[in-house]
Amino acid sequence: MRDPRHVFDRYGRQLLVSGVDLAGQGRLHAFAAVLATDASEVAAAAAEAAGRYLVGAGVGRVAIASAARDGLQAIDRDLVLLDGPADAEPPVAHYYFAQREYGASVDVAVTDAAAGWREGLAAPARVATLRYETGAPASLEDAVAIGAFAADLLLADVLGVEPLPAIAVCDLRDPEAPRTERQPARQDAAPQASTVPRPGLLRELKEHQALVDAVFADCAANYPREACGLLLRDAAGALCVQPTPNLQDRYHALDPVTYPRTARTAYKLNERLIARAADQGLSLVGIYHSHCDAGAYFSGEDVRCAAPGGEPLYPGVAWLVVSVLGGTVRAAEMFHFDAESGGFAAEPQP
Amino acid sequence: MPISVKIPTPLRKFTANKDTVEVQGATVGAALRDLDTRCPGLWAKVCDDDGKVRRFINVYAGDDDIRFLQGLETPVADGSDISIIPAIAGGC
Repeated sequence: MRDPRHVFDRYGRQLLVSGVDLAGQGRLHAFAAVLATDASEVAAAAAEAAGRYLVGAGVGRVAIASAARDGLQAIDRDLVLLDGPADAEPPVAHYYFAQREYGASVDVAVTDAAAGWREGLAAPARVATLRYETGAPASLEDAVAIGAFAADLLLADVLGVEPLPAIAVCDLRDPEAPRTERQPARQDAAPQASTVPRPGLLRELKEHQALVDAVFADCAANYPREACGLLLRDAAGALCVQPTPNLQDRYHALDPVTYPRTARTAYKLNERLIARAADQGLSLVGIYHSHCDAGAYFSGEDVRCAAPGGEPLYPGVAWLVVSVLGGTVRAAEMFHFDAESGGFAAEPQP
Repeated sequence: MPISVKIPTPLRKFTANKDTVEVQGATVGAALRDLDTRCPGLWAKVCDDDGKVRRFINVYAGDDDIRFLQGLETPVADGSDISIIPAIAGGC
């Protein structure tokens, strides 16, 4: 069986499956097979493409409806198997199905290598991400989730149709928020962010456009790495913003087991800077960080880090999360610890 | 001369609300063990069962996270400071 990790077609269109050993092919088969059981044209097209892209052996082959067939005919049926990305032509598009172990979660990221190549970037720009909890091996629900996402992608990219709204929904959903129809909430999940209204810091921050601009500029400048910084108050009561370096990559390099994430999906702040600010008469009132190609939610990881065991490490401090999509700031939400629920509540937008 | 250990707010319930505790020890680990004898329960809050500093806690010797030094074996001089600081981290 072909190794699905390095598959390219003659146009340089590439599908890279990273971090999947041969055992992972079973999951890919399941992916294509589940697509094939969906009666929709899009899923049928996705199954056809997945069968050829992922395993190159016709798994999931189904009769393709005419509307989908025309689009798929544009793809050459003879895949060219290369040894690695270095031998590929500049890719037109790059689907990166990254399986990174964050506990039991899996990332499926879609990148646009062509855009990155044009802009001279070393790494492709990530344009969409779906992350969800899964076990091993993949359950039917997981496969359906992947399949639905892939169907959207293929509809948009292969068939040239505008992305379905579902892409945005998948893209921005908190991967660890309580599940609805596809995946029930885990009983042992960390306390979740709630929507209990809280007054406070966001309204005050937005009254000072220069401060908002400073936060957003830092978040955009650091993309595709997460930005982080401090919201401080001086003795006179005035707010100020202090961007700080994201040390996550340094910790990841030192101990990738304890710190499995890079700055692409995580941040770690130099906490000593809080003491230095205090020496200057500045007190900590908030902490901001960005989510790259993800929504402005307070993630399960944010909850675990801010209040491990349900006890906030910085009581009274607010948490500003900024969503940066494709390098552009799209949204920001302020979260406060809610003692009653033991979770974090979003402050209403002013 | 003792070593000063700075205690973060969430852990001051172990120190009778004191923000600094003076301890003895030639290494960070020894100092934290001594801290635990004076304020029982603190060691378990800072280190896990494997004797490793917990992910959500940072221990600084001076200005440096001991993870980038010699960990709990990092030597400390008399009169120096150790800071226990909750981590600020997260991710999407």
